[in-house]
Formats: sequence, structure tokens, C-alpha cells
Amino acid sequence: MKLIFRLVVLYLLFLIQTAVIRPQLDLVVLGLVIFCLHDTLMFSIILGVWCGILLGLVNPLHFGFHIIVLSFIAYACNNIRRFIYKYKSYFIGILIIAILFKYILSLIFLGAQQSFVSWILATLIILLIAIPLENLTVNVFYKQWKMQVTENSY
Amino acid sequence: MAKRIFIFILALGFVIFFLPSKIKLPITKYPRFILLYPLNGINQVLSNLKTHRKDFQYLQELTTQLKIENAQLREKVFKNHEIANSPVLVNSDLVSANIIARDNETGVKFLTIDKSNRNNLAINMPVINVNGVIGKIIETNNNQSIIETALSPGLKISALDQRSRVNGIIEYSDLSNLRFKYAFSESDIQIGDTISTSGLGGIFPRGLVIGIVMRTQLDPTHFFQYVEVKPSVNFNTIDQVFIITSKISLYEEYIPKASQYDDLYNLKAGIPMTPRIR
Repeated sequence: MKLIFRLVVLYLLFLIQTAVIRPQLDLVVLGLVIFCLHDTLMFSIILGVWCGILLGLVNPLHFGFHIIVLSFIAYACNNIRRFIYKYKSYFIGILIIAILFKYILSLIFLGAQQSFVSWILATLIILLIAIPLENLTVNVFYKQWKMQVTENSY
Repeated sequence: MAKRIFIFILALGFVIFFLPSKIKLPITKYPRFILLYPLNGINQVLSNLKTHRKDFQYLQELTTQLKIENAQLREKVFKNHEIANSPVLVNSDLVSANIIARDNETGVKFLTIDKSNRNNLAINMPVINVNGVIGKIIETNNNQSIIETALSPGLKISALDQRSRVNGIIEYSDLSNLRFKYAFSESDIQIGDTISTSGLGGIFPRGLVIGIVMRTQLDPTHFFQYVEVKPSVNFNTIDQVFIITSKISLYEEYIPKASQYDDLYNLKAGIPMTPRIR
């Protein structure tokens, strides 16, 4: 059930990213990074593949590329968080690296990309909404887990 | 266990990525049909917010048809009397469609529209709007279709300079410009010339405006010219397109009569040509 909720949230982010907002913001990557920093490795990989499939659907000639990139981001985020995920600044740092990683790989393998200036602009907007969205996600999905840990620790 | 699954997924992703598009497109057909279905609804909600939509759509359609007709007439002016006597086809069948999604890298390479094979759309149908050529349909299912735009590196359009009639190929240059290739260095191409479709290739009808020449320079090989073309369509702002559903050419293609070329093609059947060695 937890996994389905996460899949639905990422799907909604994909719909918003694809159909509503212009210029396109990497909301899917943002959602993926937030979930992967909190969930298990298996969950993260599934979410990465799911996001890759979704992004591949609107870019059908390059289907498969996003599966590789986003599942790698998911895997890397989940492994990194054990070492450095303590403060919000790390979350922002990981997010920037993830978006930059996707941008560079798209530039290399897909040939065309949005200009660097518009990418910077989109990334800044993403960073602005990242912290509130992360807080919201943690409160909605992980609050119960936090309380359990607190109770157990006492 | 998770690591093994991750490696397996990476391998699977690589295999899918390097599959030919003929296999990829059918694979993604049904997931797209299901997962992109809500985009139609979202688009409808958004479109309902716009007032006088139908009138606006009608006027756009009318303008597009008039533009095509205008292009036809311009073409006729350029041609000799034999072609001028040929019949001009009536306005083509257009299907209007709304853009419901864009590709996530650039937003201009692949567009998803809300019309499908239910609306008689098929693969390779040309897509235009009021200002000119947008691209062609590369995939369609029961709900949506995908357009590959002229700004995608994969799409090449046979084109010509409307003034000097120089033929070439239009292809992607960068995300805002196109390139007119294979124009010889001595060809007469000037800044401000209009580039339109030539009708060769069989997908795009002749005479549709593609863009305007912005820059010309000699290729490093000194054999061809480097011609930069600014597309007449702003791919970032379009939200509605038209698909030409009927096979049209802007006028009947000129087929020279054999009698005119008797001297040139004075070949007799049954007598094989022997190569001349000098």
C-alpha cells in the first residue's frame, strides 16, 4: 500500500510536470529524490523504474534512457543517505547533483536539451519548492515512522 | 538481492534504449494509452477556462487553410505556363488537435496531442499550424498521438528556397534554429529568403512554409553552404496544431511529355547502352 501511494504521487507529479507547468520543472526527479532518501533500497529502485517509464512515454524514441538514469539516481540517493543525510542542506545538494546528472546525460545521449540558462532557471524554481515539499512529504508519509522510532528509543 | 535487481534493470534499460524505434514504439503504445489518458481530462479542464474557444479554433483553421491556399497560389506564380494550367487542389482536410504533453528534456522535440487514430490520424501525417510546418506523426493509438517536430534531430524535411528554387534538406541545428543542408556553394540563397517544403519525400505537401533564412556561410569544405533557418513556428508557445489527413500536393506534379525530350532520351528498346571509354 505504501508503495502504491508513492507511485501515485510520482504519477501526479509527472502529470503536472508534463501537462501543466511551462517551462518544465524536474518535479519527478524531486519527488524521486525525496522518497529515495527515506525509503528502502528496493522501494527506491521500483520508484526509479516507474519514473523512468513515465518520462520515457512522452519521449518514445529514447524509451529506456530514463529508466537507466532515474533508477541509478534512486539507487545512488538511497545509498548516499546512510552517510550524509542529516541536514536539509545535504538534501538540496543531492537534489542538485541528481538534476545535473540527468541534464548532462540527456545532453550527451539525447543530443538536444533546453538551454543552460533556462535549465538554471528551472532548477532554481525546483530548489525553491524543494524544502516545503520535502517537509510536506515527510509529514504525510513518514511521520508515523518517526513517532515509532521515538517511542522505541525511549 | 536489491543490487542484483538494480543491475538487471540497468541492463534491461540499456537493451531497451538501443532497440530500434520500430520495436520501441509498439512497446510503449499500450502503457501510453493507459498512463497518458488523464492528460486528456486535464487538457479539457484547462481548455474550458478559455473563452470563445470554438470561434478562435475556427478562425485559426480558416487562417491555416488560407495560408495553404496562398502558398499554392505563390507556387503557381513561380511556375511556367504548363504548370500554371494545372488544377489547384482544394483545401486539404485538417484535423485540429491540442497539445497535451511535451517531452521532458526540451519541451519541443516530441509533442503529444489529444487526437488519435479514432480521428483518422495515421503515422507520417504532416502536422502544421497557422505559421507553418511543425512535424509529423510518429505514433498513434486510440487516445493520443505523438508528433516528432522539426526541432528533433531525427526529422528531415525536403525543402526549397521559394525565391531561387534551390533544393535541400531541412534538419535540426539547435533548439531554436534549423539548418538547410545540401545547398551548393554557388547556389543563390540570401538572408530573408523563405524556405518551404518541396514535396519530395511524399510526407509533406509542397509549399508549406518552414522558416526564413537567417544566416549563410560557406561550408569548411567549400562545396556546400551552411544555411541557418529560423522556423516560422514558435515551438515553445504552440498549444494547438492541425494535421493534414488527406494526401495532397499543392498542385499536380509536372510530368514532362516524352515528345519534348526526344532528343535527350533517344533510346531504343532492346539495344543495350555500351559505356564509352575516352
